Amino acid sequence: MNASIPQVSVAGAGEEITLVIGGNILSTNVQEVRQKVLDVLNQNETGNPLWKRLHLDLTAAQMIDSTGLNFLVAVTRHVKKRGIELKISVSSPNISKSFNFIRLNRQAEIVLIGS
Amino acid sequence: MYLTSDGRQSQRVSRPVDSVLIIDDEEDLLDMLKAVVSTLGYEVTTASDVDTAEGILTRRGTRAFQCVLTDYKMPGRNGLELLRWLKHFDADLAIIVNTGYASHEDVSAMIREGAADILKKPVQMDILRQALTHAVKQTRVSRRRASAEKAVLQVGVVQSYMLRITGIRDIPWVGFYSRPVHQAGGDFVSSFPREGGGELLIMADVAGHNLDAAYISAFFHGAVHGMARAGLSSQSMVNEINRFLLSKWNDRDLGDSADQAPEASVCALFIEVDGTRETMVCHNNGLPTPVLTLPEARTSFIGMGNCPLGLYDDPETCVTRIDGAKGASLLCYSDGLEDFARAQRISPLALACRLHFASDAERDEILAEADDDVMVMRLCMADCGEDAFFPILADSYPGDTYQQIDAVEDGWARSIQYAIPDILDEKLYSILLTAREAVINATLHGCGGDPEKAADFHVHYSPKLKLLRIMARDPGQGYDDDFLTAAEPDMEKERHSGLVLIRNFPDRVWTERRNATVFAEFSLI
Repeated sequence: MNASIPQVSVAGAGEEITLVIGGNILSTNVQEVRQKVLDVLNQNETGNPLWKRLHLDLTAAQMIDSTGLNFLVAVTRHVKKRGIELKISVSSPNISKSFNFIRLNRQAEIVLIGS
Repeated sequence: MYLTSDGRQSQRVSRPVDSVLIIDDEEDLLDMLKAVVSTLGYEVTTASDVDTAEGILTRRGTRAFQCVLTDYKMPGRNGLELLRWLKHFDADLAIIVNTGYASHEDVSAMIREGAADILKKPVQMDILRQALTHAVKQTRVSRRRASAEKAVLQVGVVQSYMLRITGIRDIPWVGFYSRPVHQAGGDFVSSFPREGGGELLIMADVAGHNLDAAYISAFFHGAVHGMARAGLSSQSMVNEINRFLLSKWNDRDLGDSADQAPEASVCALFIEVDGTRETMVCHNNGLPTPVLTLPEARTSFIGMGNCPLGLYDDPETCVTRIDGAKGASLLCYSDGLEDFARAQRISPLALACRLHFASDAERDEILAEADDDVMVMRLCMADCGEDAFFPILADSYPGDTYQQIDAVEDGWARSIQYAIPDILDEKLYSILLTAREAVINATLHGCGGDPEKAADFHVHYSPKLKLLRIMARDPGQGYDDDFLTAAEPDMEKERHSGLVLIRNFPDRVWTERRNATVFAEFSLI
């Protein structure tokens, strides 16, 4: 499984921010992903008073393991505390299934694209 | 008559004169070439066109000639057409094309079709002599090689026949496959009926995979056959073969130029199976460790083979006895299978599985690139049915493996896809994710990340039942959480998301030893 450090990029401004994570989130790369994502969240928390929604685009991910899922649960908690709505897009039905198993679908809107 | 080195007179054995067939439509040139080539010591036959040349070659046979020297441009068919015709019937007979008119494309075509040389008219005497010498030599070497290949093929036919008469293929509870790199090789297997309905199976791999290895292998199995008939025990046979190799074959000084035969060693596995097929005793010297799979898909390696026979006085045979092996199977293979699996970056068990269930044609295709002889044998003990599980992976990982889990997972993916080529991506994902979580759990928590401790990970497959089963086992104490039946995962406990995945992705999950051993089963239907 490809565990190279995925690119993290930001699109949009104002009310909705889209955060694109361009690969897998696994036990072997989660630390680097965490740092990149936290940087983006912190920037918007301090510099974007209009921010209301976060869209996590994970459509490039082929696998997210339990450590990656734990990280996503932590992101969910983080943004919910700040009253930010969360939407997560995935293209893998298996990843979507994992979200259901750990009940992430009750915490965020999960969108399965292209299946 | 000629003198030998010690001054005696000896009758010279006259070597047959090499024959050359010359074709040219220009009568004067043909006569001149005939005279020149005759002067060079060749017997010459001439033809003025391609049809006549083909008639001569057909009538007298291509082997009556050592070289053909042909003009290129002639009325009717040209030299290139003769070249094509000739290569179709006798690829070993060298043909020189002598031309004054050929274009670049023609020359390219002649090279492609296998012309030994292309001469430009008018050809100088020295150049013609060199070209003929080279072409005749090429024909001789080529014919010698073809003859040697035929001999090797014949040895292969004999070895295949010997495999048939050993009766191994007639034993319904033994699956066997062997493929030498060449037509014949040093891997071989024999079977001998024992008293009480038992069977002695002997698998041997002679060092090397050339004809000498095939010869030694035949000698070994013949000798063992005789000893088996005389009622010797497996250990006695092992000792006898070891003694023979040491005291006869390998008893010489290094660098003894009078004796060029290579030193011989034999890896041998003797398996005595009793009449009830519930007990077996293995004597292993040098073959890869046999793999025992119990009916509930638990695999263990039995009896590491130590060193081959023929090296030391004490063969240090590894003897393993297995009682109550009802429903079990034993997988044995030669090191050629391990080497080929390593080259493919897959588990040897995955390769053995693929070969076991493949057709002969598929097996030959799979092993086309193998560099060594490959031999696989699988014994089914009493009550081991067609629905039995076959091991695909049986590895042990140090406690710090979780750090390299991506590379490990890649290896699993390759092995599983190799053994089960038609597995669906979705199923593979479920298997890999579950395996990843189970092995991270076993190494990180069960072994505490300690590289001195190890966790076992096995994958088994039953083609008949279309079931794949994985097992992860760590040496830890386990834990009390009943994660299999918990109504809701506790997401405050980080470990729980891994357990949730392990619980939900497989079709069936069960544990032993307070969750320190986890089994997960996937239906591949």
